[in-house]
Formats: sequence, structure tokens, C-alpha cells
Amino acid sequence: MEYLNDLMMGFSVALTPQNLMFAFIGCVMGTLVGVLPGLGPSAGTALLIPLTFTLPPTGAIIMLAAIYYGSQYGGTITSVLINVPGEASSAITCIDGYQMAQQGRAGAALAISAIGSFIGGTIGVMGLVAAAPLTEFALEFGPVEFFALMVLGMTLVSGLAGSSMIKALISATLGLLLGTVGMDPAQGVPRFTFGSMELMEGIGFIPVIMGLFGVSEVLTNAEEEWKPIVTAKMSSLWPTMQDLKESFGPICRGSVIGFVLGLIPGMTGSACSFSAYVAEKKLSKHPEKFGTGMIAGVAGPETANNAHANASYIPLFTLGIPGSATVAILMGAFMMNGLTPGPFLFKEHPDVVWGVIASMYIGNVMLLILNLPLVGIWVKILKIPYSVLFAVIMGFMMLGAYASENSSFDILSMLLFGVVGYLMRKLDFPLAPAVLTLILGPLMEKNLRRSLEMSQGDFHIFLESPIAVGLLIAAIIVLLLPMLRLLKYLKRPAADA
Amino acid sequence: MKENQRAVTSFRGTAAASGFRLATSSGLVLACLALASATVSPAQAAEPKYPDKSRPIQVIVPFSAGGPTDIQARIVTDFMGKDIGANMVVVPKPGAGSQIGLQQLVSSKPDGYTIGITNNPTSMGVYLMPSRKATFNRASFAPIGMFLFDPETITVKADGPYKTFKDLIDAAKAKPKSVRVTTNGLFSDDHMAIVSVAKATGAQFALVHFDGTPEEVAGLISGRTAAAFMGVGGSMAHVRSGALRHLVVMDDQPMPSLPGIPTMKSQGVNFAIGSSRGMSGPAGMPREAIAVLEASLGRAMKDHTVVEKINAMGTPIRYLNAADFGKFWENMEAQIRPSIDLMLADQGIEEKGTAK
Repeated sequence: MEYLNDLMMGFSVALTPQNLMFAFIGCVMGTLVGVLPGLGPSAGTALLIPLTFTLPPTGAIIMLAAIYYGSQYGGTITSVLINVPGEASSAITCIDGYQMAQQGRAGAALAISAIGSFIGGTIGVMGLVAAAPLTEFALEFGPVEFFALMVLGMTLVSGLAGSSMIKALISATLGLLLGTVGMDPAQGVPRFTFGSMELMEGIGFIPVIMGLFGVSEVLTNAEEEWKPIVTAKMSSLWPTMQDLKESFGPICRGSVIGFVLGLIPGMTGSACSFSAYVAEKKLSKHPEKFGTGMIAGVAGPETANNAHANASYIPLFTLGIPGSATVAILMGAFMMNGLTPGPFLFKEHPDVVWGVIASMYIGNVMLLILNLPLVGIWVKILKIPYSVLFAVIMGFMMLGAYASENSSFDILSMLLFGVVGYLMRKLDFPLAPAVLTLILGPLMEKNLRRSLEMSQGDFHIFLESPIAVGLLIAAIIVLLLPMLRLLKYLKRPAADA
Repeated sequence: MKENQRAVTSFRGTAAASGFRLATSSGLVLACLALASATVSPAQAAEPKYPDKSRPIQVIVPFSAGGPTDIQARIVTDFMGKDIGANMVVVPKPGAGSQIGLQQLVSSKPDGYTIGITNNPTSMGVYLMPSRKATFNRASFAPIGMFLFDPETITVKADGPYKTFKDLIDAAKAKPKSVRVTTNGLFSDDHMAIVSVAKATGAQFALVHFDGTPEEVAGLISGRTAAAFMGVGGSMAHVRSGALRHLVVMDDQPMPSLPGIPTMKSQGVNFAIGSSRGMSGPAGMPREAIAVLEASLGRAMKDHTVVEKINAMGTPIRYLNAADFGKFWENMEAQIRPSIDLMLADQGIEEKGTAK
């Protein structure tokens, strides 16, 4: 009940005209950051921090927070329409979202993802209110538990395979190898850097996914004659009853996956959306149809990345530990305004914390209202002949690749991976496994080596944590399940004979 | 303010610099400046003035946008730009532990229109480690001034078993390689401090490298790690909240903001380290430009709004003028050379001896 009072007080802060305006500006900017490929929420927030120097603290933080969750809405748009992920966490949406657009159902895909984002976001914010007991869970996740979780994550690769498991594994290996480039996390020895300073911190993740998905899409389309992207007749902009029914489960599961993973500091939004996608595929009655425009493949991940974005504020507010890169930048904004995130924030500045939390409820409603009518406008983009559209998109991708680190090396890296992605498509290698392992590989290695630093090389440390043991057993089960099926299949003819 | 600017510009390097040293202790400089501005002759005023208002001054930050160094640089240059009437633009150039940004800084034209932020000892580590193959060293930089210094501390859980520095060292000696101590990254000042303390005391730690201070805090609070080597800035909030406590501070003198916390020197280990933020240009920058920026940085560090914003971020302000910052830099370099050798040896990297 006490929380409810505090929340009401928060609303009284968030609903002042000035703060409403800041939330609105943040939502619009966030949507733009999401739409622009390459410019991710962390780069977007960082670039806009200087603008907030002159604003009142609460307003500034409300705006920056809105940019983060707003970008999770916007990121879907280019993924669905042109197969170019606007945000790393929307990369997986390309697979089924783009297929839906090809079938003239872009409107339904975008509307469902806006609704899913709204529900996921709101559940994330509601969790913030009841956060206190949950932070204990976040603290349980040290290097050992994180490593075990990453091992489980790696087994998801099997869920991302297309026609051939071998090709999926080759693609996954490519991602793992790319993840080893740069200074190794324990000894500081440069690996595969070829003396290049730019490669010391590894291959930039954003240029790689923009290249693999975006540039390769442009190259593939350039082979064909000029035509509008979508030849199929555009069906209604709104999802059908059937769509809504099929999305209900994925949205619920996506909210839970995104929320729980969002509590763990260091987890990325992309890992959440990938997990949600694989979960849907594994649970579906028609896993073979994934990749052909299944709405569940859009609803699940898009919900999960929003739930993650909102839940990752919880460890910040309660422990002073930022849950993701973007939240770490926001923490900078808090500190700059004399607010130290942590347990004392609720006591010392309840108006600011609850004001920001309340503004997140309001912001999610704003984004839903903002995004649903916009669906019609976004879909019109598909009417632009692609000779024109793709030239513009390439321009934006170059800008996005450069902007996040002011580095022209990232542009080259994006173009190179565009060619790699193109070749992979031509040879029918799935792209998603490479992206998944590129995300998880470095996290897994870092936490493995950190765990071993803690135990001075003794692997028993992984058996001392119940959480880690549970996660590792789950990973083994996921790996063994197909083999059990295989055994059954092999036994059957024997029984017949 | 206008008069003061003109005075400083026409004053030229040495005079302004020495004038400023006075300013740190008294208000005398104001009188000086007023006097100088009254005596500016037309001939002096006609000389090409720095800064040329039509040209932006680029401030290279060799770390990510939105990080603490970037934000601190923006707070300071926001004031300085208005103060000297120039457009100062912060340009983050992150990568390779600041090497990319520093490389660009030292190879830019030394005309006063490209300057940068140097974080020592991080920046030093870049050019002192032979494996980095850095093409620059201390002589490649023209110091303008230092504005922050965040002394290193050893921080533990408030209700944990270690009440004093001696407790921690004794525990590490009793069971070698079992007491887990953390850094916020490989080759950081935290790392340099740990290897130096281990060498001086003979204690052997289990060294764990995290990514950033928040993970170090989480390690301590959850009880997974025993002690974190971290700056005052990153630990202060958690010490105030009662979750963590400092054992020692590695500054020359006890800090007034940390009552009752001894320096490590008083505990018998003659070693002090911390993370500093300074402003530097490429070597060969005109003395006039250095003087203008130096004086303006000094004023920034006395400006109420700037001080308040920086204090809010937790890193203690410590202003040094160009000459003192240069000396500070050289002293720190002499002190950390052995630490870097220890660090490389500890990592099992087969290259003895720091780069010259």
C-alpha cells in the first residue's frame, strides 16, 4: 500500500505539463533512434545527454529514460519493412517480420509488435514497483551463474537452424570465432588483431549485424530487376482476430523472459529477444513454419526486448548497479544531477524516482498511441521504389555505423560483413546463429575466465552454485532431447521387425 | 569577463601562468588582470588572438560517449567555451583503452584548436606497455591542467571480516591465493595498485578482473569477493549507504571527506595512486593558447555550478596548473613504471621492461 501512495505521488510529478512534454519528446526521439539503423539506444542516449545539461533533473531523466524504451518500439519498424534491424535487439524480428511484410502483412506485424511492446514495457515497469525482493535474485548472479546461463543460451542455436543443422552450426562457429577477436579478457593478449588498434576491443557488434542483415539485403535485392519491395497486395493494416489469438501466448512468455533476464546485470536486450524467439519456435505446434512469417516470431521477441529495457532499471534503482550499457549511461545522467542511484535514492529523492517510474507508465501509453497510427505511414515506405529507398537506407546505415563511436573503421567493417552476409545467404547459411554466438560468446568466455580467476583454476566452483547447476542441467537436457527422439525413432522399426 | 579575456590573451604564456598560481591561493589575480587590461596597448591587441571565435576547438575524449570522462569533459568545456568565447566541441573517440583517441590527439596540428582529455595512469599504461606499440610518450603532450583526481582505495563489505588493511593482508598471507580482490578492468589503476600492494606486503591474492565498478560493488555486496580496489568516486555512494567501507586510501594525505580512513603510506606501504583527468594538447602547441585554456580551466574549477555538478558525480576535484600538472605526470609515471612491469609479469606476458 505504501508503494501505491508513492506511485500516486510519482504520477503527480510525471503529469505536470512540463514533465509530460519531456516524456513525449523522449518517446519521439527514442522512436527515431530506433528507426535509424545503427544508432542504438546507448549511442542515442549518450549523444543526447549534453542536451539535458540545462534541464531540471527530473525532466532530464524522464526524457533520457523515454529515449531508451522508445527506441525498443522504433527498432522493429525497419526490421519488418526492409529486413534491416533498427536495433540489435530487433535483429531476430527480421526473420518472420520481413516475411510478413512480403506477404502484405507489414501492418499486422507492426501493430502486434507495438501492442506486445506496450504490454512487455508495462509489465517491466510494474515489476519496478515491486522490485525490492527481486534484487536479491540479481545479486545471486555472479560470474559462475552467468557462465552457466550463457551455456544454456548457446544451446538455443539449435532452435535457429533452418533447413540444415550443419549449416547452422557452421554459422554459429563463425560467430564464436568473430567473438574471440580483440584483447583476451584475462591475460590482455591481443588475438587476431593483426596489429590494428581498432580491433583491440573486438569487432563492433552493431556494424556486424547491420552488415549481415542490412547490407546483404540491399545486395541481394540489387540482383533483381527494379520493383517495389512488396509485390503482394497490402492487406489490412490491423491484425486479425486470429493474429491476436496467436500472439497472446508469445506476448505473455516474452514479458516473463524479458523481465527475468532484465534483472540480471550484464544481460543484453538482444539475448532476450533471441531467447524469446527460440522459446516460441520450440513451443509452437508448427516450428517448421517459423521463418515464413509467423506472427509469434514477431510478438515474442518484440515484447521481450521491451520488458528487458524496463526491467533493467530495477538493479539500478535498488542497488546502484546498472543492468545494461544504456542504463549505465543513464546512471551517469543521475549522478550528474546529484542523484546517486542505489537504495538511498528512494529515501532521499522519492519524488524523482517515483516521478521517473510513473513517467514510464505514461510513456508506454504514449508510445502505443504514437505508434499505432504511424503504422499506416511506415507501411507506405514500402511503396518507394527500392532503387531509391535502398540508396537512402545505405546512407543512414553508414551514418549509424559511424555515429556510435565516431569511427570510420566501423563503416568498413559493416560493408565487409555485408559481403559475408550476402555470400551466406547465397549458400543458404542462416545468419541468426552467427549473431547469437557473437553476442553470447564473449560474455561466456569473460565469465568463465572470471569464475576460474575466483577459484584459481578449480572447475568445482561451477558445482557449488545451485543456480549454475540447475542451468547447466537444463542445457544438457536441451542438448539430449533430440537424441532421445532419435533413439525412439530408431527403436520403432526394430519393434516392427 | 571580456576585459579579463583580453588581458589573459595579451599577457602571454608565462605571465598568465604564474599569475594563475597566485589565484589558487588568493584573489590577487583579479587585481593583476584588471591592471593588465588597463594597460593593453593597441599594438598588442592587434596581434592574432587565441581563440579565433570562428574556429571550433575540438576536445578529444578517448573514451565512450556518455561515460564519466565524457560527461566531466562536457561539464568543464561547457563553462570554458562560454568563458573564453569559443565553441568547444567534445568529440568522443573511444577504443583500445584510449589509444585511438590519444593517437589522434598527438598527431593533430598543434595550433590550439585540437586538445584532449588524458586520464592518467590509463593513458600512461597505453604508451608504457611495449605490446601496445604506441607511437607517443609523455613528450608528445603539452599539459594544460589537471582538474580531477580520484585516489584509489581498498573497499570491503561493511559487515565483512576485514576491519583493517592489516586484517586483509594477514588473511591473504595465511591462505595464499584464496582472498579474492577485484579490479574494474585489466591494466587499470586498480590492477597496478593490487600488484604493487602484493609485492610490497608479500601477500598473494586471487585476482579477478571485472568490467567496471558496478560489478565490483555487486561482488562485494553479494559476498563473492573479499575486497575491491576502486576509486573514491565509485565507492563513496555505497560507503555512505552503509553497504561498504574503506580500509585505506592511496593518497599522499588522509582525505577530509574520508574521516578516520588511514593512507596506505601510514600502513607501511609507500605507494599512492589514483585516476586523474587532465586536459592536454599535442606537443608544440602555442604557449599563448595553453595560457588561455589553462586560466579558463582554473576559473572553471572555481565556478559554483561546475564544482557542484562535478562533486555530484563523486570524483574529487583537484586542480593543478600546466606546470604542476606536467610535474605530477612525470612523478606518477616514475612511480607506476615498476607497477606495470609487475603487472605484465603477473599476467605471464614475456616482455620485461617498460617502453622508454
